[in-house]
Amino acid sequence: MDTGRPFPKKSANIGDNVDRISKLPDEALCHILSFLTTKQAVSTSILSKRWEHVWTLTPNLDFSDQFSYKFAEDYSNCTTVFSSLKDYVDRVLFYHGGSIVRKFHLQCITKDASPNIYAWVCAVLACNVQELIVETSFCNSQPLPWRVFTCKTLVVLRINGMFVLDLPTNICFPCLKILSLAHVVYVDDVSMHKLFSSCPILEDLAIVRQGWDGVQIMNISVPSLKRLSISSHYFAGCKYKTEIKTPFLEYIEFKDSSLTNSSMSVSSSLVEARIDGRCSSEFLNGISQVKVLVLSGDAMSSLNYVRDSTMPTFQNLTKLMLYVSEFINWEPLPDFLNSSPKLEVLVFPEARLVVPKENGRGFRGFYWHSPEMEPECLLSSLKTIEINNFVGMPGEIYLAEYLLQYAEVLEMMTIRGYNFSGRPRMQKKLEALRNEIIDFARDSSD
Amino acid sequence: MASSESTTTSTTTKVLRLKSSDNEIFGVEEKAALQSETIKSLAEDGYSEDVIPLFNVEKKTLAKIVEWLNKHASGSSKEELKRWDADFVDVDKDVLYDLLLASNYLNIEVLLHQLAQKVADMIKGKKPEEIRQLFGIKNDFTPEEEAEIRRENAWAFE
Repeated sequence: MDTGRPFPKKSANIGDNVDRISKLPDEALCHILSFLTTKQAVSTSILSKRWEHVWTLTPNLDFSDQFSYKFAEDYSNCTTVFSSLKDYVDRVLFYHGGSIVRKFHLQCITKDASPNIYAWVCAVLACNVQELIVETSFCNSQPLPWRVFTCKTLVVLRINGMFVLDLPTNICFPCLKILSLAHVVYVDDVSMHKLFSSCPILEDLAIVRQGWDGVQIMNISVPSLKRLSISSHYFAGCKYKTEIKTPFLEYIEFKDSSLTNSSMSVSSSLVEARIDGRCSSEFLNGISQVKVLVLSGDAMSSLNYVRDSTMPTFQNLTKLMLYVSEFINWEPLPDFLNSSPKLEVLVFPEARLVVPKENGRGFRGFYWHSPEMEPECLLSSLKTIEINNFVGMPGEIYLAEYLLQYAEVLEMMTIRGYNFSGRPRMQKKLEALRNEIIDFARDSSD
Repeated sequence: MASSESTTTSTTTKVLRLKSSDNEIFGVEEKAALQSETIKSLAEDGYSEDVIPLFNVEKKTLAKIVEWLNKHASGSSKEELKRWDADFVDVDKDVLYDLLLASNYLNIEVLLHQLAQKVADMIKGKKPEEIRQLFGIKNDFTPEEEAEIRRENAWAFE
């Protein structure tokens, strides 16, 4: 064999540019086109006769009627372009008849497209589709074919838009692993529950609810579920309830804008929980086994009502991230420190504190009430602390100094100052504070 | 680098012998070689004791493929593999085609995926004329035919 590398690295172009790519077999070309958007794959039809129909074999199809601004300027032109898209989708689905479509992504934002969604989805279901994504921003409610809910090949289903989920009696999703439902309308509580319980291997569920969507009690009871994301913006005045029973859940993201009654049965497999919006003590009980907990400022302030008598002990919690912003958000912090005996990392990722006016008036500081006893985690486990957007308010300084003084096994504290660029006086003040804190750290470590 | 030594060392790992179309023999550990579905089924068919003939792959391409198979069976970290793979597919177009054809024939899905992705990245964002130039594709449509296709798929050419 030759010595050295058998191939030259990319070098100067070798003289004649012989067309070898066109000699690749259909399946290889098809594989290449599957990494492109459908739009660009179609545009290769014009390269040469060899390429004219290759795109029709690509297993990934994505269509969008979001045309460029240039086209949208002229409405009649837009309609023409839409009708060319419609013909095209009709044709592709016709060509595909029988052959496999792995992924079908349909995005319809114009009212022209909306009447076609039903038929297109029907057609693609016949191609053993594995991943179906249907999005519409058109605001009239519309149906989806029943066959979506009995499609045995679906692995991923994402629906976003005002679709009415009028479900058949026999929902059947033997392969479905990822389900995402945003802004859809359900018939009632029972039908939603039935939908979830018809997915025996579902691992990832994402739900976005807005306004009245037909469901009052959302019951998510899915044994196979590993990841769950719920985001709710309800109408005020309705009594909503969320019940979660997912024993093997690993990750939960919960965003609830109103005071709903949410309960979660204890999930011991939980690794990470992110909570935005409102949070209740009942809910905290359900996630008390979590290892990483991320809370928004709103979640923190809603916990003001949960005093430490009801806060669960977070036996496994090693990392706590608090997106605190306003002063009221900080109040539950001592309770959290008291309830997290194994905490190792404490992060304030973007403490967007209310910036004091330069003249000192309009000052809204936050209160830091240090716990009566030093929390266990400070004595034995807390190693890393990070505070961002530090502005140097008395409460902040007091917190930093408290942690420096009592965190006995602390290895690293990082404080990043708020960017006061353009306000040299504040910048100067912050720098002075920096030196003060460094001195304090030195003294307290002696 | 792969060598054509036969199995003389007394290791417990089994070595398969792969023969290129131009009769070069490469010894590859079984664990590495079986990443190819084609080799796997040939081995199951009883070729594993003798030499496995790969009629569609020349030695210069097979050497490169063997290099990939060994690397991907070496237990390298994900990050290292990623860097290594990026370097591996950074070759001339002709080499890319040879590797594509070979990995297609040998049915090595991960490699095929990487190579197809690489070619797709070369196409991404380019206009048809630029793609023709890049790959030396000759436009054999008449102007009328080309206009017809453009009209049919107007939305894709907006």
